[in-house]
Amino acid sequence: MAAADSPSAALRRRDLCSRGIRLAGKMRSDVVDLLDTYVEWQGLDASASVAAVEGVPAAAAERWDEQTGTQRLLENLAAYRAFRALLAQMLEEQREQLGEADTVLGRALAAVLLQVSAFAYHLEELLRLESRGPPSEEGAGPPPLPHLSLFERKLRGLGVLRELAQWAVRSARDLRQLAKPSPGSSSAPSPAESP
Amino acid sequence: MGRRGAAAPAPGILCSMFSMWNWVAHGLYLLLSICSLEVSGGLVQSCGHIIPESPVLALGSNFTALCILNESCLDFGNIYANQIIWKIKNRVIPKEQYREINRTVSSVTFNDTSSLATPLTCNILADGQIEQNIYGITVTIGLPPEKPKNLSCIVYQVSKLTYPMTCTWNPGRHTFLDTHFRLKYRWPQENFPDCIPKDVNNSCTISDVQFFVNLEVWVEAVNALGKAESDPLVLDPIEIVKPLSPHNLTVNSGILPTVLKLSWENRISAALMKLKFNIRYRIMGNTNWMQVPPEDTASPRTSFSVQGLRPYTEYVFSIRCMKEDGVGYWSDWSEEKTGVTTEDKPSKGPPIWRIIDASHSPASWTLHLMWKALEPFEANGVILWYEVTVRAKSSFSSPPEKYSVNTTNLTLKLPNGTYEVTVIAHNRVGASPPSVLLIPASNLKAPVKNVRTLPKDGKLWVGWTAPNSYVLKYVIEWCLVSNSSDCITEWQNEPGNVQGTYLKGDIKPFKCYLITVYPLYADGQGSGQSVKAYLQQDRPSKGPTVQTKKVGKAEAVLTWNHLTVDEQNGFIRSYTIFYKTVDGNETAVTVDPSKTEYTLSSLTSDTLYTVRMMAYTDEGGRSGPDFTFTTQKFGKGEIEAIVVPVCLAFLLIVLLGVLFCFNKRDLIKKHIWPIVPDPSKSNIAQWSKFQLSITLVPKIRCTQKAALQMLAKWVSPFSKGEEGLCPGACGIHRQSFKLGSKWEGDNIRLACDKLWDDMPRLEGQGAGEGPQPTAQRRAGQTAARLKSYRHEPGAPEVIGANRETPVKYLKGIPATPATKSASSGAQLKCLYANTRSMGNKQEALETCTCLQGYDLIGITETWWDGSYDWSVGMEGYRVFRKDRQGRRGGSVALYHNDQLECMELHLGMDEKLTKSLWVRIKGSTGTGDIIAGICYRPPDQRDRADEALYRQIGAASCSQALVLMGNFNHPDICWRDNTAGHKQSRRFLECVDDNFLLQGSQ
Repeated sequence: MAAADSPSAALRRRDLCSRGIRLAGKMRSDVVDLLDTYVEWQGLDASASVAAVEGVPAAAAERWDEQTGTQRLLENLAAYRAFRALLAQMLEEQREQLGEADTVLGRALAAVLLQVSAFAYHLEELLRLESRGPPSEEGAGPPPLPHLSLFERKLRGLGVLRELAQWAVRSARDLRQLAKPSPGSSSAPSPAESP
Repeated sequence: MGRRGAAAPAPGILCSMFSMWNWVAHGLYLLLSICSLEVSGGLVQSCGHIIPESPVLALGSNFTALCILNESCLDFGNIYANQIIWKIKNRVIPKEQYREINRTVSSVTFNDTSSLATPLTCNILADGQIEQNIYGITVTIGLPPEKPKNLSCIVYQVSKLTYPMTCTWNPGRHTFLDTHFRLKYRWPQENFPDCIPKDVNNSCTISDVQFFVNLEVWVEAVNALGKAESDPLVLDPIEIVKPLSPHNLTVNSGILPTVLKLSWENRISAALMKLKFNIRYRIMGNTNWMQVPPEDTASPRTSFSVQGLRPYTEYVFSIRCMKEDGVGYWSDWSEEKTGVTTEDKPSKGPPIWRIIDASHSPASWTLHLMWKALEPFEANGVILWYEVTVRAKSSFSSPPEKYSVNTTNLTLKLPNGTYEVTVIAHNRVGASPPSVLLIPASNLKAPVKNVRTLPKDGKLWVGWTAPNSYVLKYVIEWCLVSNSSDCITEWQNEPGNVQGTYLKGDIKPFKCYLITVYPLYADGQGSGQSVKAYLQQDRPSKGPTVQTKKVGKAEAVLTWNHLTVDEQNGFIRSYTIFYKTVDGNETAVTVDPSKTEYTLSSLTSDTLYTVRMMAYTDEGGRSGPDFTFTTQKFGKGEIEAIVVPVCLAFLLIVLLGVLFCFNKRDLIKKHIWPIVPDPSKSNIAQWSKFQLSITLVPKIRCTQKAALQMLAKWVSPFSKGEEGLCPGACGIHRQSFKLGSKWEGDNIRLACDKLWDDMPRLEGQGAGEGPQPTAQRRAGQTAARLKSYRHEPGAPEVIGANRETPVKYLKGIPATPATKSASSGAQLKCLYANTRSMGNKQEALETCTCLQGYDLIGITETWWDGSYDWSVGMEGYRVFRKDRQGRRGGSVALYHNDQLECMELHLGMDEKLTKSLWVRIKGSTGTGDIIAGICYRPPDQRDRADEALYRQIGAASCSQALVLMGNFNHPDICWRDNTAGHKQSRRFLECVDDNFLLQGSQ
């Protein structure tokens, strides 16, 4: 936390948190829109329930408010790295399935993928400010895909997007927690982000 | 690399080997005049080449090129590097720039590439002076790209989810080379494909950007001479967004008449950006916008209530938005929407004033009440009606009169007195406060003083000095003074604390306004004080018209009228009178504008003066028309002083003359009244051929002092009884003949009556018997005048007659000498007719002629041409014709008895102008010839032709006898009185008199 003590680092941290929160909000909004598009394009029922998908990190956390900042960042980073890989897979599958990339669904998926990448970058930057570099991505690659049928792949995508929407909400809350002045920190108190 | 082999000295043989990719380089070699083939194994080799091949060079840099000769050519053509000549286009490069490196290599160096051009060729002088091209290159000169500057980006929202980013930059100087620009951008951990501008080099649009992550943007420029990059721009695109303006704006009126509620929809997600707003509004028809305080709309919202508006007013609203923190750009203003506030009670009563007309009756008034419609911001709605209350102040007992009026005026007949009038305006919501006007019986209160006007800023300002008492308010009345229209009164109210105001109305320049200021007091009213004013003056539109009232020898009294108000265009400040003689200097006199008369003095007598007058306003003057007058030659009494003595002297001379004549009366009688022979004792001569009976005056002595006039008269056969009508001095009248023939177009009625039974009798009168009438003319008679020719023998008398056209003349001759005795009378029987085509009347003429045996037949308007030659002949007659070539009218003919010896007479005077024919009838031995003429004068004959005809008549009348027949178309001649109306007819009568002709028919 030594780096966080300098005023410029505090400002940088606050800026990253602030923009991260808004990026998460935008991502949430876009993922919700994407879910509608996805359901429509894939011919699924919006109310279909999807069991937990293997390889997709769950947003739910126990004793969430007891987590440290670094812990939160690491969990988030791991989740978004996973989502980045999953979304890339989905985009590839969607291209293969529909034979073209420039569709509404493709563009929306690509946009969300970019936002996930950008959010992962935010998290990495924050981790660097915590004097702890981001963990390497080795081993964080996409899990080997089991051979799934087309319908199963569609359902899996639906599960990924739903979980990503949950994560967007959780991430915003995590970053708000981070943005709160930590007790005993010498950094200037920052205005609390309204929920 | 493209090459073309060349270097053998065999002219006229072209060889070609084109590579496929460098047409430009090959084009250079089309200039080669000499080339040769050196075939070796099927390949064509050039004798050398240039290094570098087609270079791209920076402008202003130095450059060296090498021309390297092939060894094979050295042996074959004995060519070496010292023979090389470098050329740019067709210009030889100075040898100083060459350097021979070895026997096969020559270089050329340019210190500045700006002197280079394409192509640069290497040539050689072979075989003496034959220049051969070895090789050539193209040289491209340009500049490396500059570093792009001023890179800036903006994100335009084009839909709810689409946010393209457009970046612009300054590409720098022109490089003269193909330079490619690329917009590059990346995230710290991710690169994106470059944005390549289309058709431009200074902007590029990235189709979609992601927010909340810093983006690094820069521009790269590349050409053949290098590469340059702009400074990178690092930004979060969310900070440069220009959002779409809010839409679906609606305006709703609220409960309060001063509030309107706006609602709208935002088109940017609140998750992406929180917004603040600007709201502007204006009154419909007004161009000035007002704005809601920005701090009131600095937070996200979708509605807002605008307060403090005017009741019953239509407002126009528009809204825009931007990021709440002010980072980024404002959106465009939204579409405009209108809304109307609800009505409220009128805020004030209408201004009121009156005009009192007391002219009809001294005891009562006609009271014209007028009030002005409230301005919209005062009316606060639609004024439905006005409530007018008139309360007589003198009689407190009588209840006030109330009127409901829809217009803004009310006319009442009231007895003289003091009244209080109140007006209340009503709209749907309620009533205005009352406006009160006190109308006193008389304006006895103090008036304002010193009313003055001043044009200012295109408006007319009226000022006054307030009276000492407290004034409630002032009323300013004004009207346009004009001759052409009545004074229509306009007015306005001003509060009691002001002493000047601008007139609120359409005040026109160059027009006179009568302005009156009334002070109104709580208990009465002051009398009005008036002033005339112009908003702007001009020169008068015309000057005064001056004329003389009286002109004397040395003075003239000038008068003029004042210009009318409409002509003045301003206040007439002065008049100036300018007067001058024809060749003298102009003298100016300035006259007071109130005068209308002025006396010019010290004028020169009997001199023509020109006088004019100018009227001046403040802006200049204008002159009236010139007026000329001549001063009198004599002063008052001078003429009398001259005339009276002259008259007295004349009377004295006359008296002396009479006395002298009385004394010498015998001598005078001897010379003035000689003894004249008595004509009553003369004899008549007789002309045998024509049986002319003439009573001759015996022993006439034609002396220079005595003339003989003879007169013959025809008495109409219709009225023998009329003989007695002729004065006795005419002597005896004898009827000669009567021929009545009336031809009216084709309707012919020919009447041949008894011609004559006697001959004319001639009378002569000697000197000393008093004057005789020279002609006797009566309606219905044919008359003839005898003409006396001194010293000429007598000639027969000739007559003619026509009842259709009363133009016929008989000319007599004087009596034969006294020695000749009288014998039986000579007759020449004539017929004249205006036929208007002889085509179907020839037979009738022959019948009439056969019965009557005319000697002469004159016919006008025969309408003959060559085709009538066969029919014009008549037994016993010969005919003279004068047909008109190519036209019908005006042709004449004259038949004569073939017993008469006739010949056509050419008088030689403008015969082509007239329609006349003249014939000389030879007289018998001892008598003169007779000339007969037939003439047609059209009604529209011009003076020139008339004069030609009169000259012909004059020439013809020089003979002893003349018979002139014809149609002269002078219907206005009254032969009885010898008068005529028209000038041409009078001229004809003069001709008749001058030639002693007598009208011979009725």
